[in-house]
Amino acid sequence: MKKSKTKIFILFVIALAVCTSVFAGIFFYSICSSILTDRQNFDDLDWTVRLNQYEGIEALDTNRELYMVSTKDDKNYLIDGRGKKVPWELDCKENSDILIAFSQDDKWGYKYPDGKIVIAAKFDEAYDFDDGYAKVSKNGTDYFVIDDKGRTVFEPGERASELEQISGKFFLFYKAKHRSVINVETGQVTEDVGFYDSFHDAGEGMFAAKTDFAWDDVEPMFLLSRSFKPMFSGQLYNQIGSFGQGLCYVQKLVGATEEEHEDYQIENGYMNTDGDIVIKTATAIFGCKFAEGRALLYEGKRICCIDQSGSVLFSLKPAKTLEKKLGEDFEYRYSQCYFRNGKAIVYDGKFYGLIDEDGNWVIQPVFDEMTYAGTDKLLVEYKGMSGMIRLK
Amino acid sequence: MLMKSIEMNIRMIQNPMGVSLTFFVLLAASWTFMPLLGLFGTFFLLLVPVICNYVAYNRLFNKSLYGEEAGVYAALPLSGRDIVLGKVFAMMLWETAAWPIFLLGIIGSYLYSDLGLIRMGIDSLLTELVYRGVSPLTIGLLIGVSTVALAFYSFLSGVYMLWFRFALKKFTPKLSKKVKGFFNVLLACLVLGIIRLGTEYFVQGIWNLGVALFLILAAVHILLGIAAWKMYRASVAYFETGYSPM
Repeated sequence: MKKSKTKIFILFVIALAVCTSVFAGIFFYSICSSILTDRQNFDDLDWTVRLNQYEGIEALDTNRELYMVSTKDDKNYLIDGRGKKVPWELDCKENSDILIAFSQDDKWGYKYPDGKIVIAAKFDEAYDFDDGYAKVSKNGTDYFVIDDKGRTVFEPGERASELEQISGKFFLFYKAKHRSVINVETGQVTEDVGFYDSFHDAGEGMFAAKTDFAWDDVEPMFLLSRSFKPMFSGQLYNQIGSFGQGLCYVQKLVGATEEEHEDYQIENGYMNTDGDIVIKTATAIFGCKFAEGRALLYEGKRICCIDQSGSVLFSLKPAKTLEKKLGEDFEYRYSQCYFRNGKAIVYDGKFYGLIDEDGNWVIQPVFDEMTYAGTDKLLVEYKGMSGMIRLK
Repeated sequence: MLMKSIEMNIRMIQNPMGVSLTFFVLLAASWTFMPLLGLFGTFFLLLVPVICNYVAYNRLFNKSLYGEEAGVYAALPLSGRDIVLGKVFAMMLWETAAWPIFLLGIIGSYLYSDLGLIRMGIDSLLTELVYRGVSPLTIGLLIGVSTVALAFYSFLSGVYMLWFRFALKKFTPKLSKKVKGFFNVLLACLVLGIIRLGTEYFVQGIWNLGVALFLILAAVHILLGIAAWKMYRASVAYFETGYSPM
């Protein structure tokens, strides 16, 4: 009896292993087949930088069409909008955003893409420049702000390690145990903003700020002015997009305050700069930025394109039902989904693609990342490989 | 008697095998359902099967043959073939049982994990292979026959573990006197580890050779097969004639 049990056990293990590996073989075969099909479809696209040509590609200056590419042996080159390597004598002094951090003898500094050192390597850490200002550190704990000439423009002193760049000249820092924001250009410091968790630039001189409290599936947000004071009488929002053509997608929490949020209503739609909802979008989970008179609106089971009157021009079916998950950064995911030169990047719930004004796919949704780069270029990422496409 | 020998050897390692497989299931589940635990805990969850693996190797190839239990084992009416195949099959069974758990963990994580690290890694690897010209059918076939390959490597490891002990005694008698019991198994595992690591580096070095890659791999596997057969024959002969539990 025992003997037969052992036999059955052995046969079961062998059968399970064989069946699983055959199943895995079919599974991975189907993945590879779809990769091969995508590759064949990619032949129709006008590639400025092919997918497996470089290890990575980063837009340095989209107006002047300058891109930094990195090779597998960790070398960096500058290329132009045609994908050609740019001569190193290129004059980049005009644009401070193009300063690139480099390391030398375990220290960090900044240089132009032509290799000319602008700020000597003397920092332990060096973050990217944003609008002429960057956060750096000299001993790993003392963080401070420098401008594009390398001059120190702000030293927080207290809890310097928590210094954080919100956007351009605005930095979060600690002062007398309170969290404040400083405009390093004017030296103007706000009152305590410790109540807020994170910020994003919503445009039209406003910041969207997440609060440090939440209830049910709501993460309340405020719209703040440039002086970081709540706008529209301290109205709370569940979701805030970005302004485009004077409109911004929001989910307004009507009747909710920090203390009282038992009985409230959600008003879903696009609001104007006065804080009034002018396009109602009852079932949307997120609305993208308006551009060229159109915006993409994400509902659970469809992606709509609406005009400024709120009329649906066309709709698409997402690859999977879209839903809002607590903590998911919609603003980041959909930040590139807007119209530009008659085409729009669309996230279909799984991948990114490009549609035209009639809602037809110009580039099928197969890319993991897709961003606008230059007037007629797209930077794309496909399964760990980066490339650049020129739009026909 | 072969079935009896296999059964006895399975019993010998059933505890570490059970613990090891349980941890494999936990590991596979964590990749799919608890991606953060999978991300940070894989090393610790793998540590237990590694220890269990050692315990099992020690029981199969050291204690039962040369340790305290060796006298009892030697008294059993088993032929050299029964001894060798009994131990090797027990080990093969263990590794074969772990393989579907690993594969299902990978597939589950690819399809359902929120973190998507395994998905990104697999996508990246498969894309690179396809872009290098390896056809989807070849990749599917290689994974499809992976159980056969695993069984081959398990057989090779098993006969090697048996062969290593007396080969050490035969070729370097001085060293074999110093390296006994625990250290003998450890040394055998170390040498095996170095060979496996070397093979991996070798494959990484030649993997972009296209058709030539498959010819080289075929040649290497034929050589490994011959080595496995030689070690098997030598082990059977040793347990028939030269084996002493002392």
